[in-house]
Amino acid sequence: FHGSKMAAPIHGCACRIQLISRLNRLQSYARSLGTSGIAGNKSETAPTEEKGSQEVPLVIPRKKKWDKLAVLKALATTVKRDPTSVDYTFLDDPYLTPKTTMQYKWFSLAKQSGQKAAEFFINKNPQFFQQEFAEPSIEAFLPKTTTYLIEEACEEGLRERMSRKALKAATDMYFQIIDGGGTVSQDTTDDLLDLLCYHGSKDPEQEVKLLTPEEQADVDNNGAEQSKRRNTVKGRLRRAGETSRQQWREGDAADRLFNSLAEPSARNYCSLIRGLSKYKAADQAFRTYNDMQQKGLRADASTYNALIYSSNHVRDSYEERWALAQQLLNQMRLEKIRPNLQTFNSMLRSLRFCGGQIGRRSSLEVLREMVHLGIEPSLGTYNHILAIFNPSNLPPSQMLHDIMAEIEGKEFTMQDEADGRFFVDAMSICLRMNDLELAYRLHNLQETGENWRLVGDSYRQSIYYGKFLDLICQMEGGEEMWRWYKDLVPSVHYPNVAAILNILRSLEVSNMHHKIPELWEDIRNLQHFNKQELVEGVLEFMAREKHSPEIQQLFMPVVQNIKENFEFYYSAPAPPRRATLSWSSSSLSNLLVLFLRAGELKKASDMLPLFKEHTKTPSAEAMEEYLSACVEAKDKNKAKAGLNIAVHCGLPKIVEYAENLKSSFNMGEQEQTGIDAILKEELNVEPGEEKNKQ
Amino acid sequence: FETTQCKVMAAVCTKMPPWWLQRSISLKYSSVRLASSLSPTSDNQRGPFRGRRRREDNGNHAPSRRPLVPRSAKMAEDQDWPSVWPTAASFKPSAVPLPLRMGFPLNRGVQPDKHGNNELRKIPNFLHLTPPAVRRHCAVLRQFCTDWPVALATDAACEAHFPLEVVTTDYVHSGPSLRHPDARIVTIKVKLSQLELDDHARKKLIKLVGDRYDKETDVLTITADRCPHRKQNYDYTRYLLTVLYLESWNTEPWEAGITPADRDEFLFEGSASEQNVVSTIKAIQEAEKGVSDTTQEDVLQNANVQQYREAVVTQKNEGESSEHVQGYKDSVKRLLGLN
Repeated sequence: FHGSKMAAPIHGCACRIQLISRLNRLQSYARSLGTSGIAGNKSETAPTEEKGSQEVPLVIPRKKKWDKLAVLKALATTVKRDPTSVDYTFLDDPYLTPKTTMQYKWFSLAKQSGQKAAEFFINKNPQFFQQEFAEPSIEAFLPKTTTYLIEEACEEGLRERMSRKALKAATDMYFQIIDGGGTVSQDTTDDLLDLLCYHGSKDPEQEVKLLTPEEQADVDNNGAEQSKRRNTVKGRLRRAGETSRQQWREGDAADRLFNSLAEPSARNYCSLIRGLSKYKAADQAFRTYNDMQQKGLRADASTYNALIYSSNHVRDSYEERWALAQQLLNQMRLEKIRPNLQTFNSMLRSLRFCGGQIGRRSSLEVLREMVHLGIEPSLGTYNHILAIFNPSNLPPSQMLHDIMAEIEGKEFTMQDEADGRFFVDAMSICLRMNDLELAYRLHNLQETGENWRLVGDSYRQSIYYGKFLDLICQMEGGEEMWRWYKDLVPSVHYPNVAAILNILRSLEVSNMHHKIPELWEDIRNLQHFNKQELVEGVLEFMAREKHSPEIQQLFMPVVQNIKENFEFYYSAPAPPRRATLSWSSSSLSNLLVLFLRAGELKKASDMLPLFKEHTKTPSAEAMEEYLSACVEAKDKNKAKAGLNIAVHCGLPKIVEYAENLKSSFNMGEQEQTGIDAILKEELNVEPGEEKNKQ
Repeated sequence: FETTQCKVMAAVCTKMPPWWLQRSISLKYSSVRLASSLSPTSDNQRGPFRGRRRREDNGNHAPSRRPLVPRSAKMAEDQDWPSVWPTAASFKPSAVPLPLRMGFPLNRGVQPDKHGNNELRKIPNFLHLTPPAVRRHCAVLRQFCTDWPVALATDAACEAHFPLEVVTTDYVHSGPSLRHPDARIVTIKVKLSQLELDDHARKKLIKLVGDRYDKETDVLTITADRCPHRKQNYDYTRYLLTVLYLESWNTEPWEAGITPADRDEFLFEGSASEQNVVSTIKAIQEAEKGVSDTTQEDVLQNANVQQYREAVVTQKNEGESSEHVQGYKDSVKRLLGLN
């Protein structure tokens, strides 16, 4: 009760002030961080506090500030890639994880299409989806209204249509206002022109169109021819990631709007030039630029970037292209416009198409200028330089080594369109140079920080990892190769048949035959078990040499499964759609040999009728092995059956086989004549005669 | 702890020889159970698969119609578990390399195993918050924290520097809404000994707050939930505390008319006991000396009277007990000089 003792003689008013100061202390500490102020405050209000706290002054540290995602990002750094899982988009379930590249595509598209369908139904029946469960409400999940709040032609209505990205409606309203004698403010006009130029005078595609099936059919019929053309890029089908970019057309909404302006400002000119160069109207872009120059208006940096970007399309010879780009840069210097990363990247991009000589000479100058201006190059910059220095018709240069020395350990973010191609291109150069060390360094860089985001979509990823794995198979020892294989497959990469054959080769070189059951399990999961080339490769791999009995036993489940697969495709009532397996001489011989080596004489002899049935020939080595195995097992009937097949197929050494059999089995007269009969029947050759000839 | 955990995982993994590998190649698959079940008694109709329609295995399935081997079978013994299970998620049998069983055992069998087991999905799991994961989280979250002030090393120091405690609750839950109705509730706690109060103010404050004051811990607790927002409730609690404090310092005119019956406790001063003891002492003195010249104050200063006073107050305020009665008896005897 020290408080009450102190307070008794003091007047009530003082107490009130003290009370408030006590309650406010927390805030006052946070505000005034001066230690002296706090100490003074404390000694005034609480003079009877313990000694300990008076000795150590109370310093409340300043509150730290961070952005909204910082904590999540920090937590994400504690987690690495899990080699047993697949992409997070898919459900983690043995039935629902994709096993092949095709399934990867199907499943991702199915998910996307489900979302699209849901969006369609929400927009179709907005009356059922008015309830807002989310708080704060999520705009994207609400049904999109098709009607506008403001119907009459006025500037607010125009603004509303622009904010909804309804460009066609906005343009119509703009001209309606103008034709009706009204005016639209300068800002709104500028914004509308910006939007039109950016989107190429078309409504952005993400707007879900609400069409009935009949309307849809109409649109399809009309646009079938067009869309067929649009869906192919350079003769091949368009990939999922690529967007078809339409071309600028004269008399589009943007053109009309620009022409209707009495006095276009520099901003209007700039956005028009950017739109023109974006939609492949380079000539017109340069014409507009000249107009602008004549009117004494100045363009900004991104407009110059767009002009440099499209400079290749207006000049034909390499020297002229380079001269034009330089001229634009000089103009920028005269107008005192500071170039940025995009300027240099578009510069280097044009240099890619300026031939080797100019490209190699000038690209380094461009890079030097970048360093001089203190602009940090992005991965796209390096990608352009790599492309300039490693044309496909020349042996690769050492440029990648220099680049890697420069960027190793750095983290990059997406800054330019070309950034996403660096890793793929660099990896293919590593493969061309057969430089494993460099590939490891590159992969390390990819795993640094968030750089994995720059590898690109699943298509580019598959190329990147495919080349990486290919290089490892060629250059690395078996154990190390297997470690990488386990790490990458099937978590990030689905190898194709050729890649698995490479892996088999690598396993064979380092004598790691015991990995085959695991590999075969993966082959089955990857749906490659019915690829003739691969199955024969696997059989060849197992049968080429004789291994220890344990390893031969290890092969057995694989061999059995391969045989069952063959039989499945022969016994299937309707022929399956795609790849099927069919017996070949080598696959049958290899199976025979593998059964023999595992000590399965019964199963081996079951194979024999298949040769006859499918008119295939067993290899001489396989037949010799079979006969010697029969001798070892003292099984005359199976030996005879084998000889029968050998004679039927016309193997060159049948007589020798027959003699061997006769001598090793110590056959009676009757059986010897039986064997002779087999030979005679097939070849019409008297064994005695042959012997005499020899 | 991390090593022990790894050992547990390792033990689980070593108990699982790659039998699926041999089996999977030699068997034809009719269902995922054959591919994934860890229990070799696959023909047993107990467990989560009881009553399920099973496709007849006629040995003629396309080899392509085969589910993946569950990825738990491929996991390395020394794998990084927080990467496999990074965030809170409902149970996924194919991703957990533990031979878990849960649910009611039917037909005197064993409990159903993890595959297709809804019981395991219902319960919340903490597979994302293993001790190594928590330790890593703490390590990366350290950068967002400031050092604890040296002056606040002990609880007593914290209480002295920050006498007012404000309690609010934030709710984090998966769902479309970020809001929770209970997040608006604000509670403030303050020790009465930390407020500047005299005897009258203290008693009045306690009268005013009623059961919000805890006599044992000397803590006054004020909770506000009447406003829709936390800030408003907080302001309201601050307002209440201020009003209570100021009101307790006010002395209204009618408070002078308090009678002993109104008081919560017995006061010796002005009580009948005081008058009696004074008159008794005076009577004794008169009987001994013939005249009493001592004043009332002198009488009360007497040590025996003081002891008597203590005994009476104790007995009245703390209730009757044998010790108190004994103390009262002793003090009366001493007062009357009987021992």
